Amino acid sequence: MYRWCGILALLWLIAAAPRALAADIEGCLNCHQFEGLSRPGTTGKAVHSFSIDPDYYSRDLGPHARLKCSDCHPRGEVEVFPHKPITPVDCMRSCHLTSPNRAEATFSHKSVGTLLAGSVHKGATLRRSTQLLGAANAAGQSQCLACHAEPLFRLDDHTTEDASLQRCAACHDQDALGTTRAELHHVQARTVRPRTSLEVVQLCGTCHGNAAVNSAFNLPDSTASYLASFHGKAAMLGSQNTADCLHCHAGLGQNVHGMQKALDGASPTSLIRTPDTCRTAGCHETAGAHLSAAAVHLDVASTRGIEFIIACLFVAMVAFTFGPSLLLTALKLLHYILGRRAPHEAKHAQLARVLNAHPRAREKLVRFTPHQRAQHWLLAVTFTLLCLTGFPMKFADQHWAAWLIARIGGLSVARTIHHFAGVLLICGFFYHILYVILLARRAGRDLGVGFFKALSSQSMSVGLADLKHMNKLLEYYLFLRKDKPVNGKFSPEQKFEYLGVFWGVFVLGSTGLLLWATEWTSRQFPGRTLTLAALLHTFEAFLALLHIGIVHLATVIFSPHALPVSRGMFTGETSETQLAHDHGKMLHEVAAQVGIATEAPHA
Amino acid sequence: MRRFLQRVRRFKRSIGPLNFFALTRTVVARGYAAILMLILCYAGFRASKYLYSLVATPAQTPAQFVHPRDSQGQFANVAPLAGSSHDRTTEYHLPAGRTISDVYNSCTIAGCHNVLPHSSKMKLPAFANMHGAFLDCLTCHAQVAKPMNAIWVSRQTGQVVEVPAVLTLDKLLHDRKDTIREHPELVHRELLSLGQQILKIRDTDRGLQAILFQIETAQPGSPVWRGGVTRLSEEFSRHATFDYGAKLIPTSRAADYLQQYRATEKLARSYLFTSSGNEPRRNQNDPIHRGLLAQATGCAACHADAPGQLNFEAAGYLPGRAKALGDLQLARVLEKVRLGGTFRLPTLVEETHANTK
Repeated sequence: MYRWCGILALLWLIAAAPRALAADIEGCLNCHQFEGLSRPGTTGKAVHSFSIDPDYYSRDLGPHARLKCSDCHPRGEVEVFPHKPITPVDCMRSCHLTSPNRAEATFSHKSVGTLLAGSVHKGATLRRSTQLLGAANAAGQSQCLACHAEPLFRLDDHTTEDASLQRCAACHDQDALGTTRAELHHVQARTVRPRTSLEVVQLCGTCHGNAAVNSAFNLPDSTASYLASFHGKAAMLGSQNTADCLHCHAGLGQNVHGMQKALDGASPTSLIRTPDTCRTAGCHETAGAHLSAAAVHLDVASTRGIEFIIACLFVAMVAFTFGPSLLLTALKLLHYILGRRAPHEAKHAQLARVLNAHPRAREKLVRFTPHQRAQHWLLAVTFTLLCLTGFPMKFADQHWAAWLIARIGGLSVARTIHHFAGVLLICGFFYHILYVILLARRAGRDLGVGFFKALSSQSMSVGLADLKHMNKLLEYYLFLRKDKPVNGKFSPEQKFEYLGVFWGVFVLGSTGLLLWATEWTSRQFPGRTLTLAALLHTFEAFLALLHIGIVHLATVIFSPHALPVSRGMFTGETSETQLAHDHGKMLHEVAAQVGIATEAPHA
Repeated sequence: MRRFLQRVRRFKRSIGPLNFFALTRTVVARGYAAILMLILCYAGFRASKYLYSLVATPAQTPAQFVHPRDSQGQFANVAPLAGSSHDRTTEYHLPAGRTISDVYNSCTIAGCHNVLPHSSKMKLPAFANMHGAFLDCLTCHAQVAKPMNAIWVSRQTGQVVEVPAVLTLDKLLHDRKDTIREHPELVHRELLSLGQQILKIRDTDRGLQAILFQIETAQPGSPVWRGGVTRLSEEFSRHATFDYGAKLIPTSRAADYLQQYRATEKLARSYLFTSSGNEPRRNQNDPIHRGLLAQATGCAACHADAPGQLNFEAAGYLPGRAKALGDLQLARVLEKVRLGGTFRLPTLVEETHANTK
């Protein structure tokens, strides 16, 4: 009786089923297409969902869409309703596919299984890994699920696809169209990578970024070290061209399921084959063999080599340069908050007012000429561009980095801007050197002294006296002395900052060019040069950002003495408050030049 | 006292004659300096921490690249990464996002009953839970007169709403075929509006998105437009798989649905906060379940009996579909299964179907 009811029910269901579900000849989707078809597991902790996306089958969204349900699920278990307890799917079962010529072909993943058994990812390894991951796969489930979710084709656009199929419909009937769609998807999907670089890394990182798995197999955290490297950062910022795990570890044209250990000579990452792997078509084809020595996995803390030493040196450099600057700036602000003023500051303020009222003195109080301001603006603009396009690459794992790069127009646009801003900065730097040389020569001629003497007499030149001056300033701000040393046209901090620009542009420029010309560098220098250049470049950039972004902004541009913003780079003038506070000696010099009598400035 | 006054006088002297604007300027400037100093210190601290960690701590995989897992070790339902071309699948056949939430369900929201209230202890739990996507619990578990009229309540707001866009569109495509053929411009806007309403609920439905895009970008009545509408009619049933964004509730219970929901929630809270096993708790349980049936009406009540318990046509279904739903052969089979029977899906059917292709 039940049997006949079932037959009647199914005949009715199949007749009533929409055309789109015709691929599902067993009629399973008649029940399983509905959302919410689910129940709690017997333990009450898990949810078993039996809802199947009908689009997957009707629109051929994945390679399994051409299979009958019973190709994977044993028929004996699912043909009875209520269904019998379902055995986990064995991916090595043979299934039946209908080929384009409508002949039935048998297909199986057995060859992949064989390949996998001989690879580094053997069944036992995968089983142990999934156990360590917290039994991600249920008992008896196929090991394929450790890496593979439901395979979906990466399709560009349904509309384009429909338009293509409509052309076929001019001659072919609907049944042929169904097969054509499947074939179109099959071919189209194979022209694009099934996963993005980042998805590949995330997949491999499931095990290789897991502490328990790494500890059990005595492996380093290669996901972390990859993501810290140049390729990893590019992948995080959405690059599709950058090398991911499979590019190097599987190799071009090789089956990923046959991946071997790096120690195995057949592996693309073995010592002997790595140079060629890096020089694979589409990667660094014209690079030198040394390229493979560059750090594809970068972990500064764990590498006890030259990279670690360089990093430590830079950290020390930051501590000894940025540290005192930060301390001095913070103390200056503290003094301002407390309202502590140097005894001579009121007199200097009065003098500044007098000088500002004097037309010739006012001219002399302009600290920056239009030419200097133009050079500074070039530096400011290029530096800002370099920061905006460079720091997202340094901090690629931060959400703001991906956001910023997307706003800029993608990683390749950001890189182009970075490169050209860098070139402009270097050009501006050389132009400034030329400018300083000419300035010193002219001053030498005027004063009748030699070039170097004239150079050292320039207002921005740094000397031993500035160090002593800086020391006195620090003592004053630490409440260790009452008299505040008086600055001339530029304070010692500003002079050191200026000197820092020379150092910074030299380091950033030279390392940046080495990195830009990766292939050339790898042919001329050892591969580690690139790693060191990358380290030096990012550390120096970070140091520059700290100085400019923190100290320069707080003490000069947005200094409380120049509220709301310093006019120095707009008009070249300095506010009276700032002149009185920071440039007392200059006030006295200008007063002497225009013949206004003043008391002698403090030491 | 004298010393204090001296101090005040000294302070007054230091700030000069009391000038409101000068005082405000000083306060603002010093406040600004204080903020600047805090930012400076914080930035310095973060920079030092970062540099220290760089040389002292081994690199670690950023959190967003580690697949989170639930207590069962399964991959959690994670959002696709930036640049990902498709939704991440969590299980076979089940793309992420195909879950239905019912915000205003007093039985599940207080935590008394599971979100999937029908467990494997009962027969056909998955079918019963599936009905939870578009029926309120009261529709099957309340004692109501037969035949029952039902109306739609939004699952997101708990308010009574019009017939869902899915059903309205179905009706439009069926009832106004002549208008679509003769005067397509008259239905174009309505068709798109209903489509957009469906997409708000089913935002991952790329197939429907593509069809609507085709209709929207074509001139009403043009071959491309007609092709889109034809596809919509043909494929419509696949895009109307019960996710209506609303649920059916007996009309008699709908008027004060939100009030009832809040009252039940309050009672449930009070019940849950009372220690178990005592008399007051049992007393609180009764009013919550008053008028409810522990054993719900079976499949046949709506899908096989004549007259059926639910008036599908009044709920907005097309007459043909309402008739089919009221006389569902499958429901009869399932009713037998519910009562303890089984049935076998015969191979004969599959072979017959294959031969007819």
